[in-house]
Amino acid sequence: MSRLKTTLMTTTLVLFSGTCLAADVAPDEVVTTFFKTYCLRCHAAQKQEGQFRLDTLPREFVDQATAQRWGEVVFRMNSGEMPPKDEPQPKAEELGRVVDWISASIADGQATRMAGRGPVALYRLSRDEYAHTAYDLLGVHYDGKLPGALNEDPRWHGFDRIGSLLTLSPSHVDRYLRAADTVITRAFPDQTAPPVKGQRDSGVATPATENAAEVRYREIFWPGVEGNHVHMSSGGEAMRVRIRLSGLQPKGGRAPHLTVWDFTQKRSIFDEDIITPEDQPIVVEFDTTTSSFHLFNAVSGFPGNAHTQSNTARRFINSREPRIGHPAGYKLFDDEGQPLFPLLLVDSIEWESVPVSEETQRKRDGVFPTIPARDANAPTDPQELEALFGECRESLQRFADRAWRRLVTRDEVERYVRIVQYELAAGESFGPAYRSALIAVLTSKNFYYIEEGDPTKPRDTVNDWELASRLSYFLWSSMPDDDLFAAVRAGTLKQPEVIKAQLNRMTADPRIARFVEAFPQQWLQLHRVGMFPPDPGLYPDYDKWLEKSMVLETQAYFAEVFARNLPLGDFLKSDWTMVNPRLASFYQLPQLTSSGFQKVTLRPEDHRGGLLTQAAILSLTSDGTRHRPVHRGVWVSEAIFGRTPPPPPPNVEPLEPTPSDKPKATIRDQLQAHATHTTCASCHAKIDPLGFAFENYDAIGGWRMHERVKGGIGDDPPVQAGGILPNGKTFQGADDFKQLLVADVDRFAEAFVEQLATYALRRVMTVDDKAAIKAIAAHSKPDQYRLRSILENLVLSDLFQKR
Amino acid sequence: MIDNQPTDEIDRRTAISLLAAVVAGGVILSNSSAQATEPLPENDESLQPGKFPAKPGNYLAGELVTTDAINRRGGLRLDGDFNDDRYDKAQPHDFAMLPYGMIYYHGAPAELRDIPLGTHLHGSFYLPPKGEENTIPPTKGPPQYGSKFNHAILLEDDFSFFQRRGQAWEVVEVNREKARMKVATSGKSAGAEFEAEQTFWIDDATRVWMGKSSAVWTELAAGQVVQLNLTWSPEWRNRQFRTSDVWIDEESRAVATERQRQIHVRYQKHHWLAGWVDHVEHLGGSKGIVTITLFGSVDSSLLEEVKSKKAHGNAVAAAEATLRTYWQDHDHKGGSIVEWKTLDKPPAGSSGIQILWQTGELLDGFRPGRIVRLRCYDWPNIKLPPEERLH
Repeated sequence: MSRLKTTLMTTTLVLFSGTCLAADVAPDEVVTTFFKTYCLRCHAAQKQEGQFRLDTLPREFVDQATAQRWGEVVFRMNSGEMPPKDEPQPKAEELGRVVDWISASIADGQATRMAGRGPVALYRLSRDEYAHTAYDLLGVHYDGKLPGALNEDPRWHGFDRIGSLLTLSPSHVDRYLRAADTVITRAFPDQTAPPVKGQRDSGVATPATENAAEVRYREIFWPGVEGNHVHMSSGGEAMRVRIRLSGLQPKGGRAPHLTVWDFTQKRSIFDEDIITPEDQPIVVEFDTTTSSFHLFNAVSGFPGNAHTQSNTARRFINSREPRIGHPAGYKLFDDEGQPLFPLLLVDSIEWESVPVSEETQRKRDGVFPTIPARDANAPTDPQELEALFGECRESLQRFADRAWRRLVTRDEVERYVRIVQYELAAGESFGPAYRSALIAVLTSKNFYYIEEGDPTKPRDTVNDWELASRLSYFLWSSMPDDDLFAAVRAGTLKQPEVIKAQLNRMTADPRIARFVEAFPQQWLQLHRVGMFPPDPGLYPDYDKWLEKSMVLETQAYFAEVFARNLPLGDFLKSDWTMVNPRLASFYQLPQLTSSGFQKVTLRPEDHRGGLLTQAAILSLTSDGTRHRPVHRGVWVSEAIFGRTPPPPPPNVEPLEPTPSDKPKATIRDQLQAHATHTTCASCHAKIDPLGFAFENYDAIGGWRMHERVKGGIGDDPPVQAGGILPNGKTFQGADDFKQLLVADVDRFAEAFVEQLATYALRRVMTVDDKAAIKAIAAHSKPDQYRLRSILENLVLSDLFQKR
Repeated sequence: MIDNQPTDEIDRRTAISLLAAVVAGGVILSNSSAQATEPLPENDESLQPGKFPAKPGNYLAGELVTTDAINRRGGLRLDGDFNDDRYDKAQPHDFAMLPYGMIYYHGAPAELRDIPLGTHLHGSFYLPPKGEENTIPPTKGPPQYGSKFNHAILLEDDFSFFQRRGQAWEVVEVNREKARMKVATSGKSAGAEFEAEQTFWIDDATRVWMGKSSAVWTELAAGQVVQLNLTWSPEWRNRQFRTSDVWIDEESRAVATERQRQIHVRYQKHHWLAGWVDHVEHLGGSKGIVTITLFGSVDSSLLEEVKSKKAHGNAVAAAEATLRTYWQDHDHKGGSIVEWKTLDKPPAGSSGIQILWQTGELLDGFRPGRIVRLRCYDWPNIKLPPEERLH
């Protein structure tokens, strides 16, 4: 059999397997019959309407031009142009199967193109990976996401580390130069800057007497009010900030929320709900590289009269004082001394330079020769000079071996020694001259590219150095550590028990938090949360902290499943979730009494549980004014089944708002065309039900029974959350739907393994990988698809070592 | 003629009169060397913030010699008691009006600013309320000539004092050469000490009112029933007073009362009605229902107006014990009266009217015991002059 036919058959066989919730893809005969019945009469040898022949169009999808022509075929059919209206029309179901087949084949072809790799494959690091690597290499905090730092990485279905998409342009190179300069200069300054220390508070209310201690004021932050700017003098060094404060939560109200805002970068550098008794303040501590900030209490709901606000108390002693505030300011405490609003009471703000820890010092030891001094000129004595270059050679070798994550040859290192020589000869002092060489090492492609393969000896698997990088960039988004390097040098890394031991060691290391945060962020496309900011008129309760809390919930949920090694089914359905006080009030759960994320048990009336009914997931598909059930369906299809539905045809009419003289209609009602028009139904019968299951959740994920409709006459209509899946199974709402997903967990498990492999191997999975992915999933089934088991099975599989 | 003494007004003020009817220290208005009567028991209980007094106050009378009208404070030269030493050394008795303290002038509610210096006043006084002990500093003169009762619930001129008790004066004789007028009690008696015939100094400086216009004192004749206000005479230590004003007939008295009432009404509409907060019910965030008792120191027409216009909403501003506000036209808050209660026998100081006022923005000054000022929706909303405003 030809290779193409094998591929095609494998494709169809694989896609045909399992009890699918989406329609089966048509085998060869169905497609051929369809074309014969509806297409070939006008598009074959006898007649070529539109100068197009379908019978000779190759069924080969890796070639881009051919794939594009097939794409055109799909568009024409989906838009209803083909077959023409006066010709026999296909039924929705058969049209759907053929469109599915073409679309899936196009996707597979694209995947094959994207994953195509020659003898050597180069995968560029993403911004986050660059920053983590810089930290693990030299202990320098470099934020690649600051404006002007590194270029944003393009995403593919949420993943920002797909090798074929991460290209290199002059702009990238320029930024890598500057980034390397920043990192090296911070790690090895010529003079260590004197430590910076500072403090601010609201001053003395009552001086100390012999009988009584000094009483100081506390600064009151009521919701929305901004504190004065704090300027720490730092040259980009990390500063440790400590804030001593209490947080008072009113009965039945929201927790006060401390936001530390960097107003030059317009972003928050610390966020937390604070709930502590008035007389028992806590100290929050965090590190930052910003140089100035101010505090505010980021909760909404404080009355807005500017004159009254200007009278409202900004500092006080305590709530038991007979006169707390100005009589013409807002009342902040009731007559029993209880807070009426979420209030932060700040005692003091302190800051100091972060000292270089022992661990960081160890990373930097041996990188910079200690003699001569940094400001010294080149020695004039030739013997001394030669000895110096020898030392430089050794140091640079050690540094390059670590930075490039492999054994670096003498020839390669010599280029960098020459940089030192040139700089010194030009009159530069030793410090800057040697730093130039270090910067050059970090600006080499060997640093910011992961290289796999050998130009002279093609191979199918990675070698030990490459495997170490694969492991570390998968689990830590960063370079291998000394332990991994040691295993490579000992030649034992590829032994299964060694890999397993390394995996266990690495998942127990604190750096695993990088995986636990990054993988769900990319898999579930959480970057889309807040992309269309919800209209404040329609959603007055939505604020930045709610948005951030939503994303943190999903990450905390994944972290919990990971930490406790729970089965994959918990992603679909559970009786628990992770919430903070802000989310607990949004979900109308019982009020929490302490801040931070905590696990809560859910009751059936809470209508939550699993990933699919989390606010982040429900809101990332909305458009700022309303939910979009079709987009929700597409998301479920991608994230849960790993299947991207075919795109819509061009020029589809947007939904119209309800006319003022017609009864109010829900969005679902307006999507009736999807169910009634054949060309629409062919695809939408498989997409829409996946979104309609969540009709009870509005655009920001809040529970509702009625849909708020602008315009039109009558009351707001009740939502309809039922539906029929293509396999005929029905559901009444989200809970039913989750149950159906759990019953089909095998399918989800395979899709999940594919997502995990995409993340781990940094490339799109192709039809060639399908068998391996299925095997990994099958291997994890006896253990109920526990998350760590899947991880282990992936890491121990052949796929993980396949180039 | 305007009937400015509605029945309930008399009843209300009769209640007050009972307080002031106690004579302390034997002060009498007579030029005879009358002996001091038995002193009645002092009321030296401290007042509680947020509570009207349960017992009557202590009677003091004297001439208004200093006034700090903005802060409702002043000084009285207490009536003479034939004591030369007092004549030489006594300092004015400094006092402050209680927040619910009432002032009457010409038979109508008034402010201190309406009363000319030199007017003889009758009052009812208490010890300072808890927390206000330092409001009035101790007297600089000999303490035996001062009084510890320095917070007044009531001050009224002779016109108001006697008219309210139903007593007037009948002219017995006018001696033009000696410039003296002898009068006797007419109508009800205000008390034993006022029953004797009294002789007052009178001369061309006395203002005499008849009908709607002025007259001269030489037109006074025996048999006329008059009201009069008193002021200083050189023999004040011997309880001798000069007549500052005489109202010869009913019409002139009615005109004077109505003019003062109008002055008062105008003042209240600009400064708003005072009361205090009994209780606040918090409804979450800045919403709440404030229970306010309005003070009884205002003309009843104003209270009627608040009741009849309450459907339009009311503004309330935070104030202090001096009844001064901060920036009431800016920092008041709007709301509506959701309940109107009337007490049967209100204590002295209270109007008997308690309202429940609901607002969306509670101020810090809306706390039990604190003073507030309330206006109708269509009363002037103006910035008061700077010396009147608190900062």
